[in-house]
Amino acid sequence: MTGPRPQPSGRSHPHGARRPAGVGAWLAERTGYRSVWRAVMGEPVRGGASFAYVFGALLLFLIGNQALTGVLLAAFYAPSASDAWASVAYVQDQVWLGWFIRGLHGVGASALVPVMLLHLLQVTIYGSYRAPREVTFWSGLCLGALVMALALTGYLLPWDQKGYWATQVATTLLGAVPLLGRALQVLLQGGPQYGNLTLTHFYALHTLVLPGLLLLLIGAHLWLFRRHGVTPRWGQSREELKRTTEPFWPRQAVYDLGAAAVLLLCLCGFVVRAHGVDLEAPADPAAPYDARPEWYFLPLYQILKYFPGPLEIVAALGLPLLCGGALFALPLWDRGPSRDPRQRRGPLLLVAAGLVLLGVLGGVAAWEDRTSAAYQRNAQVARAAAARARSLALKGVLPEGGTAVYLNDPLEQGRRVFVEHCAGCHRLGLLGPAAEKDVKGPELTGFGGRAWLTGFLLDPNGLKYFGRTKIHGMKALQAPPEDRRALVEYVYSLSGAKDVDAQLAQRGAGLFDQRNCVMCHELDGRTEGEGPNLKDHTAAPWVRGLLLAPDAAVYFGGDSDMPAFGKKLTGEELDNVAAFVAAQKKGS
Amino acid sequence: MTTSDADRRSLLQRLGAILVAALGAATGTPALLFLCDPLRRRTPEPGRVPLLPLSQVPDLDQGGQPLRVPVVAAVRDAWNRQDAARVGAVWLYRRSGQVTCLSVICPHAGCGVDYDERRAAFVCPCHGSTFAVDGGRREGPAPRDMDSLEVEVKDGQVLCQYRRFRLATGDKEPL
Repeated sequence: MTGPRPQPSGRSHPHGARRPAGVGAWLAERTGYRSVWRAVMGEPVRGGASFAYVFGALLLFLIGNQALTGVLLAAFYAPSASDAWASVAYVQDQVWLGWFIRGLHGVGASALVPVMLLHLLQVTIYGSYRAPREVTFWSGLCLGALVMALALTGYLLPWDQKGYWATQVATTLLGAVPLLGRALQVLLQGGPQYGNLTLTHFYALHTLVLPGLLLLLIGAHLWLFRRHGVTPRWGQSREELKRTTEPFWPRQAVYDLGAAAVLLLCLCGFVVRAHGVDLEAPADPAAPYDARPEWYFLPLYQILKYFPGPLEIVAALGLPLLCGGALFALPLWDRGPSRDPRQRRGPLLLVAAGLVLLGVLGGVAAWEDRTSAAYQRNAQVARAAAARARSLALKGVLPEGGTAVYLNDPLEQGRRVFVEHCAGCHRLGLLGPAAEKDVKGPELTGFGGRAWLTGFLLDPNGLKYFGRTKIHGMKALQAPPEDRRALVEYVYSLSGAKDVDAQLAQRGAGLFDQRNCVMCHELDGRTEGEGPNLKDHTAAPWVRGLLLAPDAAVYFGGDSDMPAFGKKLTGEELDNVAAFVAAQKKGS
Repeated sequence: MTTSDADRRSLLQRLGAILVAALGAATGTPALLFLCDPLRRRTPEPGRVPLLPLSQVPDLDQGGQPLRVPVVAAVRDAWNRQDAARVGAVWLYRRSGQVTCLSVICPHAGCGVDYDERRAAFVCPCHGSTFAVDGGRREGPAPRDMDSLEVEVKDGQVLCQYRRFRLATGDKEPL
């Protein structure tokens, strides 16, 4: 025999005699990790491994995914009202695979809900909640509630319009709870209003308190589960069960791992297809937003619609408590002699009915939104605002954060003036009146650009141009397309645009004379005519002059219904909005 | 357990091990790549920034002392941008018609170097490195002279090409 004499493990050797070789054995003797491993992997699965048991493991996998992606996101996130949105936009649009990691976190959160419901369904069908596993079941229900609380605290953190306004609803409902409600609401929000402290409180809850509780409860749930073992399929004799019992590793483990791999592929598929999850425009307390909660809260949102006024709290608090209570009471009710689901129709129908009700409520909520024109339009405006904010954020956001991102747009000030003073009558992109009948002036999308000018020459009295006004002097242009293009290029060049085709514009200048446009439209900026003077036409100074006196003879004269803005706007506002309108020709 | 059972079991064990490795790699790889994002970024240095009008730069030939001037520049910090942030400071003076600009950052460990009027020398308060007025190393643990920065006088304004350099090395390497 060569080598050291094998020593029995666990005995001390005062003379430092040789131990069994191997780091693994060394560690095992000191920590006992191998026996722990054997205990975990050797869990006896009575009745044999089954795909029906994968849902618990899938939930563990999803929680692990949330934890990992959560830690990664936390390394790049700042929980302050000024920094939160900008830091999330940074991760989403600038950090390597940031969209993917954030997407996994968001889609993973969504995935928890159907997998939890499948786990509940399987537990119900198998009667796993029956004695002696009632407490296991109850700990599982608490886990479900914790997961929903994590979801709720999580989607406020980007501090975008959706998170901000949707969570306002939740905290308002909390405030409606009798007696303690108001105090609880202020406690949770960190104050009477949403602000920095709301974010820090929700962040502490979402990343420290709730995960800590979750971990403890998962530990308890798993311990209780191991104590009683898996609930095998009904109708098997004790001998059969004993014969088919096998250890967790490898078969059940492979089922669980395989299901997890398929789930991960599905998650990745969702994330890649949508290029991550949404980020709306920065939270703006001055800009109300058509908020909806995340899809898994839609059933509760829908139910609130049927309980107006003071009855709201009945729906918001009472109904979830009722459903929770019913689930809680399941093991106490379902105590018949057989675990066969065919003999337990009552409990099964109750759970199934509950799931169907949730599905119907959520479906109705989604359908009502899909068929609401107002909601769809608001959603479209919100999407455009989000895209605009995110693209401006690429330049870096000023320290005030949030809505300060719009200051990256040099035309932002003018845009705000337009929204406040012009969008009541004029459409421009998504701005302007929603209803056709409220539009009073020409549409200004791409104002002064070639497309706008062409459309105008073809149909000056159409609804898009002067059709809603009393200004009808101009007739539609009758000319071959190449002449029209030349005329458009010439008028376009009057604005001082830099990308003019000089030859084409010159030909247009000739046509402008030949076709007698010049009879009504002077070009010197002073002389009156039947139509507006076209010097610097659609450039900022021309627009500014128009705003000061639209009914001046060099503009549209007495037929104009447009108000003058000299007294309503400051000099700076006039400059800004003129620059904004004049800039619309770019990129059109 | 029959031989085929044993075979099936070891096949399952192998499959299990493969799945664990695959899941680990699938989750770990994007996580690592994500975390490594800062490695691929180079913060652009502020470039040429105005410091002072030339008339305000002290002249040592006329009995003046080096002046500590803050460097204010536009910065990008992850998601933030600031138009006028204090990004650092320099020691500035004129002598024999030449403008000298020295970074206040001690090349030893990064503390801010002071100027000692009595000794007419730059002294670092952290570990006692001492430098001559021209930034040359005299004594102490500093591995090299104080880092000088390019200056340019334009329209009566002193402009400085502000840069940061690696610390604790004998060679002056820009970061």
